[in-house]
Amino acid sequence: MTDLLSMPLRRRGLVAASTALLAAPALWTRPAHAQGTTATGSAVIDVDRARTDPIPVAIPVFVGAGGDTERLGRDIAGVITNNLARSGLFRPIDPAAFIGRTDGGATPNFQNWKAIGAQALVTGKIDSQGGDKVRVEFRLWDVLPGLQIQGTAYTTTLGNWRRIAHIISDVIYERMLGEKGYFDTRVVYIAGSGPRDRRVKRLAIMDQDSENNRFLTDGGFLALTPRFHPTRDQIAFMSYVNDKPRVYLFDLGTGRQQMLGNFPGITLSPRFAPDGNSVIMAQTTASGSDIYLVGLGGGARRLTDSGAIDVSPCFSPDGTQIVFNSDRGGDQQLYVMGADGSGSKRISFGRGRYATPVWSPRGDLIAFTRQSSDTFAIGVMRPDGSGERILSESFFCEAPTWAPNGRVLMFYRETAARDSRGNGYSSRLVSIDIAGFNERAIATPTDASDPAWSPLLQ
Amino acid sequence: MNHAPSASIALGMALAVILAPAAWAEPGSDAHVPARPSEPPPSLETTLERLRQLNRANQPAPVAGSDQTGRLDRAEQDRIADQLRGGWTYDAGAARNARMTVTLLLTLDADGNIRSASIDPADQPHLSDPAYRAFAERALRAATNPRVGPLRLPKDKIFDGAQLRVRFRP
Repeated sequence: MTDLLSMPLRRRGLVAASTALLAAPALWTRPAHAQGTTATGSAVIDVDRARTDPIPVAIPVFVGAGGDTERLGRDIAGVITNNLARSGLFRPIDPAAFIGRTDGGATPNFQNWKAIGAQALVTGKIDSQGGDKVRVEFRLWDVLPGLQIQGTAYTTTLGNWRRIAHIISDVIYERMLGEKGYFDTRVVYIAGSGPRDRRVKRLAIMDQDSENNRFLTDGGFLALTPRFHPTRDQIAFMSYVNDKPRVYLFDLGTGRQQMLGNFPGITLSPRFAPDGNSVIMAQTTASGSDIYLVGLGGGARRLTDSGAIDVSPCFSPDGTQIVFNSDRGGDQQLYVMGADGSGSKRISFGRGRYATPVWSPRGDLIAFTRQSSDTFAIGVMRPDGSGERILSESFFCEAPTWAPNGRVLMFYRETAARDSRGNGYSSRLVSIDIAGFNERAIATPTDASDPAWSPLLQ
Repeated sequence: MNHAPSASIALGMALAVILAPAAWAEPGSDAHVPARPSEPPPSLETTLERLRQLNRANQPAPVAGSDQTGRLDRAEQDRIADQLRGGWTYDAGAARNARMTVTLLLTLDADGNIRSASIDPADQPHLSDPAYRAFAERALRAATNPRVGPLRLPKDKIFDGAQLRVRFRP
């Protein structure tokens, strides 16, 4: 790759570059040099104040070979287009502006794509492999140097086309931005229906782009705060089975659910440990609630004993620390402690009460809900409490969850609305980029709350 | 005997044209009427252009591929930076982008077109980091964006085949 980048532009061949997957340590972090001078004292022109414009990308329909492959070519290009557009980091160019066509595989006429301002081009073709098998091939081109920078083919079944489109979207995202994508993921959430005083709350799951929605529970028992297992098809959540609020595990493959642990009091706000072998959660006591680590194979260990209300625990991605909220200081604030419960330290000091802390998969930020006077806000801060930033505010919003790449937050927002019974409210999922832009409503078939984003699918 | 004009002679001749334009007599006057020139009188710009051409003719051509950034004064550097800034974008939400820099070597032709752009060898070892590579490639796209160039180089200096060193940072 180094050689390719250093070659004169007009001599660059169409060579598929390999993707370097290993993130090197931050070798590029160098001391700042005086403007106009390099470390060795050479003159240099400094170009700063970069804009944050999305990358213009052209995504023509993937070329099919007749029959189902023609439709599939349109559908796959459409899903990729929607994914990249929704990220806010790419700007898919209107196909009406395209000049000429591609055959899906051969070297494109780059002048045609430069002319419409494209910097990246995605081409693809689909061949039938007999039966319901298809081969989906795609290439990613860097238009200005005229260089293929990615090329991959997938053989799959027709019914799996949507996942292939998400996987291709992730490959494009990672190659162009240098960070993992988040398109081949799902979101589990609580689907709400009915009037507020008799709300039916069901566990539901869908793809991150709102497709393939299905309900996991029938609404017979209230369900709350679902969380994905880091590697298995399993969800931990809180359910009021027989009016006893307890933490349960739900197996997505079999649909079976089982209570986790056998505690005398209420158990709530579960979250898996990063290694997936245990769940951290709160258990009510006579004086408040404490945080427990409960092994999936049995056994439990109490981590806090403050006599206050300690809830909403969440591990750091490396498993060495836990963030939670507590009123031990007289007001509901965020605290960080060691994974064994030692050395707790308050990290939130802004105005208002803090809740639902969630550690970013990157490890660099903690997302939270903050309530001050009559306003709720979703924000982020560093794990030491510095750098607090509010990303979104409204009358009521709560429960942030991170995309697996730590780039996007999803949460839910309630707004006043009218339902069939008169005055009511509406509850919707919303996503926002951590840079504080690109806030988007997430479509769900019913009201929705308590979202939890899955890891990238295996 | 023909000699190539020295810089000072050439400069003097050009300035003479500016400072001593031909005297035009009013119609009907008794003054001596000079022969009508076959070309319109030189404008200030065409005169300056001739001056630049003469200056360029007397400059040594840069050695192909040699770094000529130091020949630009601050205002000239700023003008080029402004142009390149027009295509310079980065991902503000990426974990480490805010602290990254990448230096490019731009090889130019006489008209300011960027003939080639490459990453400074000192920065190339970092390209194994996908985040850094993505950052560096955005800088390459900014430099080679046809909507940005050609660079407005000072007209009195020769840059054909020369290199400029440009450092991109957010």
